[in-house]
Amino acid sequence: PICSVAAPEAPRFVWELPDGGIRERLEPVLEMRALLPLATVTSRIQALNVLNSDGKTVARLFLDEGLSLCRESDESDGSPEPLGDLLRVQPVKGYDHELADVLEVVKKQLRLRPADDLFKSAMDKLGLTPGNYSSKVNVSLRSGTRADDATRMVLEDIFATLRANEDGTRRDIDSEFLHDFRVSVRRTRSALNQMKRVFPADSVAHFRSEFRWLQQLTGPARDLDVYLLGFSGYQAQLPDSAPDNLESLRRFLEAKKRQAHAELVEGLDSERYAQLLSDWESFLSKPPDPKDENDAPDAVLPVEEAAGKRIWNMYRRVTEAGAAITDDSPAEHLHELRKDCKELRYLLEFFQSLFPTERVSPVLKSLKKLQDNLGEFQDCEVQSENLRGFGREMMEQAQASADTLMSMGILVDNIAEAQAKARAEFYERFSNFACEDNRKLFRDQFKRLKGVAAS
Amino acid sequence: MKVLATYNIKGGVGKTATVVNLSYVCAMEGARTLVWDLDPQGAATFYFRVRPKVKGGGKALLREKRDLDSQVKGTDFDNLDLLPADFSYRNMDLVLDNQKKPTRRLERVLDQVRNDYDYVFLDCPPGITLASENVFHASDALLVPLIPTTLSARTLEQLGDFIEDRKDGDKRLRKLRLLPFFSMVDVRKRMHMEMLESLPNTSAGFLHTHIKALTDVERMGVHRQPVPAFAPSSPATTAYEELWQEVRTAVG
Repeated sequence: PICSVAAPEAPRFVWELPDGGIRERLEPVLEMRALLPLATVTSRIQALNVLNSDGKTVARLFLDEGLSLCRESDESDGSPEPLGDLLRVQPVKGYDHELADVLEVVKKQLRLRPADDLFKSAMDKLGLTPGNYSSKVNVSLRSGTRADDATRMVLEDIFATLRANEDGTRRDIDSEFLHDFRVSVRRTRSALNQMKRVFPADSVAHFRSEFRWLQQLTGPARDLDVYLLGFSGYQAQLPDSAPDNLESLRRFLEAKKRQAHAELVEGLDSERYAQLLSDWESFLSKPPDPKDENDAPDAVLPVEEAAGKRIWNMYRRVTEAGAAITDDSPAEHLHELRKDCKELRYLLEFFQSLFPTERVSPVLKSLKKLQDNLGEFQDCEVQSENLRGFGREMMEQAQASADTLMSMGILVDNIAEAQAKARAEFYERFSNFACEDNRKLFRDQFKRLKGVAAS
Repeated sequence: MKVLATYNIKGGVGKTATVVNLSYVCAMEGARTLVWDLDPQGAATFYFRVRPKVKGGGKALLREKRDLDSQVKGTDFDNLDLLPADFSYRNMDLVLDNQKKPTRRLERVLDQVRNDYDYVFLDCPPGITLASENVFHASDALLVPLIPTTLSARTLEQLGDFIEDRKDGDKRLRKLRLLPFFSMVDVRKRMHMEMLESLPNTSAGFLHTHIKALTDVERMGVHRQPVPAFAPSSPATTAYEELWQEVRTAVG
């Protein structure tokens, strides 16, 4: 092995591992994600050492007899599924010739065929491919597809991600299930809003309000996750002697999070949510109705045209609103701009497959940088307001000492500073995005399509 | 990566037994461990049942004509590798003498495996030579086994003086820890017991654990294995485990 670690039991999060090679390698891969047991593989192992004339081990053989796999999932009845027998040959460093001899015997005399490694066989049995989950929208659309069909395909993909994260959200396995669940809800709302002319208004009005409800339902728990994920960052801002002052804030936030999560689960268990899921599923699987065309002006447009039109409109809206921002603009204007940027970003991602990657990806990059800046500004706004609120609440419940409140004061100060910095950086980020090259690109790529349709 | 060398000006003091047993205990704790048998007699290599042969000899390794890693052999134990002895090591001084910065060759060669191991144990031949100067320069600590006799006390003093004299010209030597401990202690001999009382007071890094002259240590040659591998409940095993805890704490 490249490195190894002795762990008393399987760790759930990377920060539960002792310092060392394994942790260093896993930290950037896992970040805040939890490790989940998927299956247990058992076998009877016979170990054999291959010795040379000095009695030195030059290769090791492991015979796995009666390998079987037990799924850990709740749906599984716990019965073992056979994986067959396996002979594993383990080399000993510096004994390559001896290994070659052993392999020769295994192949020629025992007539065994090479097998997949055990991890891969187990994953195959489970029907999983490592690394194939992504929360990104990934739909290959064909030009010329009806806009309502294509939009349904995008919505279906988003819905699959939402469903994939529902169980983890409910069980609060880690913060990212809820995060991806929420992003799916927001994307769904964004698609319904942006592409409203492709569906008859009365067929989606109900969904628009129900998904808004779902987003509100998931908001408080996510906000608290964000504070808890960033907590060590808060502590790092305090002088060396003071990080413990925030412990009562942590306990307060954790209690609030438990409460928020319980309310979220209640919502997910409700009749209302079950109804939304089944209604939405049947909406997505419904074949397009010719009558829809009368009520949905863009339903039969080729998707690239309908999407291009929306992208061009949102681009214009973002650039106009951004150009109007001055040092005197209220924070809400930046907040509104941020929301518009998000809508534009989602549109570009939903319909990415219809447009040349080399043109879309540089635009996405500068848009992302602008969004990061607006996000930072808005997060600061919300955080300082909420920290003040938490402070007051903790005072009322007699949960905060003077030291804690003063430490929270330092955080609020730092946040104000970070917010001012974000605001100062806005102009440059915005002008990078709104530059002439990008404008030309948007016009050529997206507005042109509208022109074609008109002629 | 920490480099620990077992070294004594005098031979036959239990040096190789120390390397073989401590490296085994170290590897069993999960640390990636390499033993480099620098003694042309190859006793450590013999104990691990490896053949004493390095392609191109010591010359090819020290001149970096061959990667260290290509010559490493896995022992029968997890996490424990061995770079075998080679009869050509007896000419090590001649090879070194022809190199630039002859006292720093070994340190440079060990740089190749700096990220691959947590601990490297060097088993060194007795005597003060150009090779031993290389060892001092490359090491974080010298483990010095001493038989509790007046003669041993003198060799420790000589070693201390030798290093002291060179400290000004060599920054690395200022960081070198000298860790003497008693080995092959015979509790029936009065002089051994007297030395056990008096000598440790003369040297700052003196380790508390001592290794008694036990038959299990001698039987290593029969079993060709570290003591803890064939006699896990032997008092010798316990002693080496305690010695390792002390050494590990001392080198940090």
